[in-house]
Amino acid sequence: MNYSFDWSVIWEYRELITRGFINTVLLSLLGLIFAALLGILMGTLASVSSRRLRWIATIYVETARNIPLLIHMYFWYIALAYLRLPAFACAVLGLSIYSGAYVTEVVRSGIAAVPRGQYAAALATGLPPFAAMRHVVYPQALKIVTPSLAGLASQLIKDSSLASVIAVAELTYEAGAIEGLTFRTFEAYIFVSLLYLALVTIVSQVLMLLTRSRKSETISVSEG
Amino acid sequence: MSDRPMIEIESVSKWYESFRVLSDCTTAVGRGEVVVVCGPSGSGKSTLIKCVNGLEPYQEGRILVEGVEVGAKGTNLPELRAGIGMVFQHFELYPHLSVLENITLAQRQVLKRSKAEADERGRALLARVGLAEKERQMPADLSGGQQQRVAIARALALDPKAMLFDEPTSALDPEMIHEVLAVMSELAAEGMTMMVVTHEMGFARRVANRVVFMDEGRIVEDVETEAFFTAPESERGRDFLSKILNH
Repeated sequence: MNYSFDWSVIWEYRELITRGFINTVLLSLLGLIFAALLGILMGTLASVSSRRLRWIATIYVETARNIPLLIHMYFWYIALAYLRLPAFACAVLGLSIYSGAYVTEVVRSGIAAVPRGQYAAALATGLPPFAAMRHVVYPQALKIVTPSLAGLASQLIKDSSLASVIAVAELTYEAGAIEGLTFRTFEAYIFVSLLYLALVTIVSQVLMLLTRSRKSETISVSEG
Repeated sequence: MSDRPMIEIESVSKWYESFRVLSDCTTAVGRGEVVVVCGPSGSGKSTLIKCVNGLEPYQEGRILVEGVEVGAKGTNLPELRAGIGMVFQHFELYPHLSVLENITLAQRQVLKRSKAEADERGRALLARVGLAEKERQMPADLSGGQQQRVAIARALALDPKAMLFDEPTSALDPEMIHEVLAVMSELAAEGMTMMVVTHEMGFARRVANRVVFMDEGRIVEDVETEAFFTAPESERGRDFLSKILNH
């Protein structure tokens, strides 16, 4: 073992790394937003009394979750090649649809954890079904599932690295590019790993803080 | 049409799968009338009252609220429900909202009242049920009796034409039952139309105009209150009364 590290390549290729980092953040952010929207929609469908609507949610969850994310990425990239969608959009699609299935399951379990009487009480005051969900069921469900959602968010950031296989210039892709240019494999991947570590840690800590501050808010109100 | 009953239940039947929970139920609640629905557990009384505001569907018969059929396809259920207050056995206050917010949510969302209007109405109702100083508390910080009084205030906030009570005191400790019944008696005295599922026979005898006695999904008796307590017509009614009054 007489490998000598040369970290100067990181500085030399700082533009690639910065671009990769920004793309990873953007990809994760868009993935989070669409996965959340899809998950709330499908998780709600999974909770309604209509069997047909529940089936739609079940089929979606099973299909999206039981196919590897790598295949999702290839699928959107290849199948939609004729639409000339940019690779970045394909990656957002693949990531959102795959992660949305996990969000669906979390949302469904959150809604199931809110007593049914709450929804009935909201309906009884004349709230239409959607308003009853929005003002009474979702806020309570969200509180219950926030830790699980924080876990899914950090999973999604890590999963975004698979977008590199369809040539999206995010962090992992740029690490590969630097490796190809310099043969400095260790430096490139170790540095990128540290960036992922920092990003995921920050995001999950912030999400945990948000939950905690919401809890303390409840307590302070009740004391006031 | 002014003497038309507020709530009309005509030959209503309901099934869960193949199990018949309501069989050919017919009764009515007139304007300003207080009707107590009683009977052994599993007799279908809670199910019947939940059919009145469409929280439970029924398969046969008709239920009319001020002439509007609850089960009809084109009926605007949210609008119909906003006109009927409902109070539940387990209160069902929204735990993530303060006491006052519990009372203002539907006012703002359904009646589109301004925040100031809704708050003012909410405070007036809290004062009325004796909880003026609790508006900023969370429901979990209140006793069961207090929670149920807030739930009554929440229902009254929409200025309902009728109130449905589904075993409002069954989940309460004995010493809290009285405070809830007192609020209900007051409401009745003010002329509110009420349909009350309860086991509180003292309340029924004092406040109700009529008693509907149910057993196994059927309305077995539907008579004036005094008649029910002094001379129940059915064997089943006599049996129920002797058990519930002499325990």
